[in-house]
Amino acid sequence: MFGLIGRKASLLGGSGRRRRWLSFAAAAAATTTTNGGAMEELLSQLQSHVQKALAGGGPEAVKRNTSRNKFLPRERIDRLLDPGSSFLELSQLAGHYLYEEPLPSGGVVTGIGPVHGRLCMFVANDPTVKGGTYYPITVKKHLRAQEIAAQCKLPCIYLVDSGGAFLPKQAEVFPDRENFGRIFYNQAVMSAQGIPQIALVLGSCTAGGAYIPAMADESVMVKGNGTIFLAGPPLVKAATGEEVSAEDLGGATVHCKTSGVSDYFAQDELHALALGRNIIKNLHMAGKDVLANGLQNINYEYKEPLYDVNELRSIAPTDLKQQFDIRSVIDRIVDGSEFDEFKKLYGTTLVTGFARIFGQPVGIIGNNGILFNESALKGAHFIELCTQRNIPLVFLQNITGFMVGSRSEANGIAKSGAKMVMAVSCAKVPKVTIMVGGSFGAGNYAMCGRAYSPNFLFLWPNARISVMGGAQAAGVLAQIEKGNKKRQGIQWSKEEEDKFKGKVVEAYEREASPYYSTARLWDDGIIDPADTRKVIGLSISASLNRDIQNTKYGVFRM
Amino acid sequence: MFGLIGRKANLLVGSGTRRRWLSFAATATTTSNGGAMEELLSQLQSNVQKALAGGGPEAVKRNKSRNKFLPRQRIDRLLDPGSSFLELSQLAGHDLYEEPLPSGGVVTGIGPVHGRLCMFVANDPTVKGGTYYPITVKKHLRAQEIAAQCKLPCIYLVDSGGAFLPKQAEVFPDRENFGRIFYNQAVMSAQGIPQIALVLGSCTAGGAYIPAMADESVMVKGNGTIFLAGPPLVKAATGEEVSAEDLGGATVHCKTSGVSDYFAQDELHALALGRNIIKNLHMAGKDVLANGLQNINYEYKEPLYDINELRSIAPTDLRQQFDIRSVIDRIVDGSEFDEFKKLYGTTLVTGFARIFGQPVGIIGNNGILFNESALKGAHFIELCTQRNIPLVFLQNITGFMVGSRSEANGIAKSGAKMVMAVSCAKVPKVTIMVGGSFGAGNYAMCGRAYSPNFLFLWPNARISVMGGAQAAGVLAQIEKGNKKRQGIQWSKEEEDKFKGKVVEAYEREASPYYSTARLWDDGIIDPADTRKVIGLCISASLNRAIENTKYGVFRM
Repeated sequence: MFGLIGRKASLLGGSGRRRRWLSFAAAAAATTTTNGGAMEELLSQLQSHVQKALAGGGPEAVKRNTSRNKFLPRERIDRLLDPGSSFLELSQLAGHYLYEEPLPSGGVVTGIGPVHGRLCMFVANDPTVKGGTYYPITVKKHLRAQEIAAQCKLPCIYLVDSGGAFLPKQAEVFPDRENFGRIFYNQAVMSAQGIPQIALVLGSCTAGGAYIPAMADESVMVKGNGTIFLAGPPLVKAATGEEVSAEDLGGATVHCKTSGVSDYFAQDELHALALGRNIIKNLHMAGKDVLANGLQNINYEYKEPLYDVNELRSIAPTDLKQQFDIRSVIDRIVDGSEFDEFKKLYGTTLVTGFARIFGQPVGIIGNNGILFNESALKGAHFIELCTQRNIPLVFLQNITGFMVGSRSEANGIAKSGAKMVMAVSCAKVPKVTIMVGGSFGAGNYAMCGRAYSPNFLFLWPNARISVMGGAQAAGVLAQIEKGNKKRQGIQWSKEEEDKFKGKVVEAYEREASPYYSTARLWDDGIIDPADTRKVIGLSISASLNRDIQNTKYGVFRM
Repeated sequence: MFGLIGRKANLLVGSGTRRRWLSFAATATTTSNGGAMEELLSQLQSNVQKALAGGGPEAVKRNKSRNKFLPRQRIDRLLDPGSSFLELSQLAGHDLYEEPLPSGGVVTGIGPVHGRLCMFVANDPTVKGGTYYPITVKKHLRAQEIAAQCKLPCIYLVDSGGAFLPKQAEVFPDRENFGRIFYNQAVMSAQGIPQIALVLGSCTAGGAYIPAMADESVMVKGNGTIFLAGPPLVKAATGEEVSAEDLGGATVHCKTSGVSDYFAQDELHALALGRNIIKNLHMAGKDVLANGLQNINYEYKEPLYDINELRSIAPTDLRQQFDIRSVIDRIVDGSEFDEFKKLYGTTLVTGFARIFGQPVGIIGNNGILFNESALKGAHFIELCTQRNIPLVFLQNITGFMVGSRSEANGIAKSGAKMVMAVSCAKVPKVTIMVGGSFGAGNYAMCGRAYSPNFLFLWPNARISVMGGAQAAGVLAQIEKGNKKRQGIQWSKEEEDKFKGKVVEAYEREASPYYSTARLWDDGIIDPADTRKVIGLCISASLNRAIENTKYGVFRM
């Protein structure tokens, strides 16, 4: 076990100079080529958006936060993490251009990093953004972090500083299944599975927010800033007539000394964070599965790829109509650039094969064109092999969809696609999806899109996601509209039709943007292509905290 | 086993004159309370009638001219004669979009075929050509969720053009979107839960995957087509010109491609084949009910009180209190209710009873939750999970007690115990909202986020994070603080106007129609149908063996 931790530290630890925040776009200059120039622009754009997210609620709110002797959420996380280690921030641009007012990082910072060598999931409210209140996207981001924690059996550390639900949007935050209450349901279910739930109360915990520490296995409260109550002083006065201060109603002394809602009393934030690290240290084996299957198969003497990972920035064209060989991506993310291709000569528009990433065996599936019947069958077969051998899967998506036409239909293209979809849906090995190009239509299903519950899903800045291309959609919708108008006896001019089509194309282009996706948590983040290897390595490492279940398939339509 | 089926049939089968569509509202009795409820029931009936009309006379006529039945007619011909059909999410999409989307464009529900309870999902081609709006997807997924929970075979009556393209960003890319339908089919099939597709109309693009992913599928000659891309898109993509029938008709897919298994001459033939498929499932997907079987009392008695009185029990003004026991008396067998911890935590009523012979644990609100009420609730839930007794939650809850005394006594801790118990309980859970459902009370009493197997509303129900007046007060205080910090004057008149807007919004959002349109529940029911709805829900839930319950860390 020491060996395992030691080797993992090689991935998780660093010299202290290594970049620690993986979702940040690097300042390093990209190589200047035609492709590189376009990608460089995209990376610059990504960096710009990220910087805005990092600024939190703005100078005034930050100043107010500091005046209360509070750290910012990323500062809090930083002091919990092991020195020099990596932190995989998730859903960084949640909320991007989603609401009338900015909601940087969706009002909450989430991500994975090690504490005393143990990978943990962090959820830290940002009180500088709308007082840390929960907008719909804040809830979604919190739930996504918990989903990953549950899948990977990662202890959860909640750095709580929130006024609860954002009341004007209560209809989108409170009543449904994947709403605020689901946070506490998840805490209960994870606790039942032995996954530790830790709460550090560094600010207010009002109304629903009170349940995060109340439902935690262990909780810490800071004197002064930390408060927990179902109703704050104004509501209490309105409800019962009682006048009481926040500290007397639900401060650290009340809850650590009298009510027992909290377990550890902290003098200040640094003390609270130190107590948090101590709690993790004392978890020992709690929630971990014994990795009997995975352990024996990890090669700790892995080699870096033969090619420079920075070249990944200039491989993928930003114009998705240009093709590129997915093998050039694979060569730059796997150990020693060694890739044993499976069924190389069959179904050539899908590349499948075995490799290692940071010593961990992986099965890789990447697109090299549209999916034909043979490609789908090959994909299904390969997935069956990987689940039989407990090998995690990596999907490199650049897919427009399946072949259409009467010949394909008669050959059972839907049947072949269904086999691949069945295999992807039921596979119980860890699955990581990276969208390196397009993700359209049913191709998104077969290549493990969001609805197929990959453990993690990340986008390159050039990625595009929609049910079909804008031009296609415009054509279909125009035809339907023309039929409607014809039935109503209305004349539709070419000019009107072109205008209609233009609107559709515009909408589809906007909705296909990676920022539109990440703002809504259709993915776990937009990454610099140069970080792909490391992101995959961390994602698989996190996923393997849970033992791999046996895969059982449904009825394959043969 | 025959005995079990026979006894279940007693619940599922009727004389033929019994009302079969449980979500429909019937005429109410007239009393003072009854008068207000009667108005609500009349409103419910009116909304339901609109949903039943589907896409309107013109669309219905066009559908008929293609020799197609309507979705509910199709389901009717699959169901066992005279049996009950529990329609779900009937008013999905109600006032949700600019254009009407009756029933959310799809009909879903539970009913028996050859004695086997099945989940039905039937596209409505008269509503936007059966295309999937966001709420259509949500409704389809909710039906599948219930089917997975209860191990009910799924019958998909497919007649859809796929995703509604202008709303693709809300239908296609996310986890709980269109693709999840096929993921669910795969996972359920892996669990042995049969997936059956009857292709009665077009199955285009994504829609093609419903039959392709099915264990068995039937196609109708002529109307039934399956293709990833229809003729216009094929022409645009490859230049090939081909008719719909030649591209993906029943002959192609039953004879050449193998995407479909049974060729039907017309719809009646297809539906008959569908019934045959269910007949031949035998024990597929069923769990052996070793635990539940021995404990069902088949000689149950009806309640001593008239169930129609349920319509006049609950006040439509939620500030009026009523004793939840009067509801319990009218839904349990013989009106027999063995109350647990009667004298402790009296604002929560807990106890054991039977409904249609099936043992149940009932938890009902009789006021706000104090520390003792929450502890009592947690204890009772632990008993029921230990004994594999399904739980019924009758919600009429404003929340937990507030104030320094409660906080110091650990009200959050007590509430957390009840929330922990509710979250982890593995017995079937059915929630009926008979009044208010506010704040954390919604959590402790098994609201939507706590995954009850089923959740239904009475027409007087209200759901929000807190009452409108409360929210207005809090928000006004926050706004006043903001304006003060910015040095802006805020007049009493302006404040009152602000508060009024909040109250108005909260009232609108608390309506049961706002909820059911968005699938925050499984339907709005006539209070008089409560007993039957609960009975059917528990019966459906018990197709799956009860798992052992394991709790997380209770904060003591």
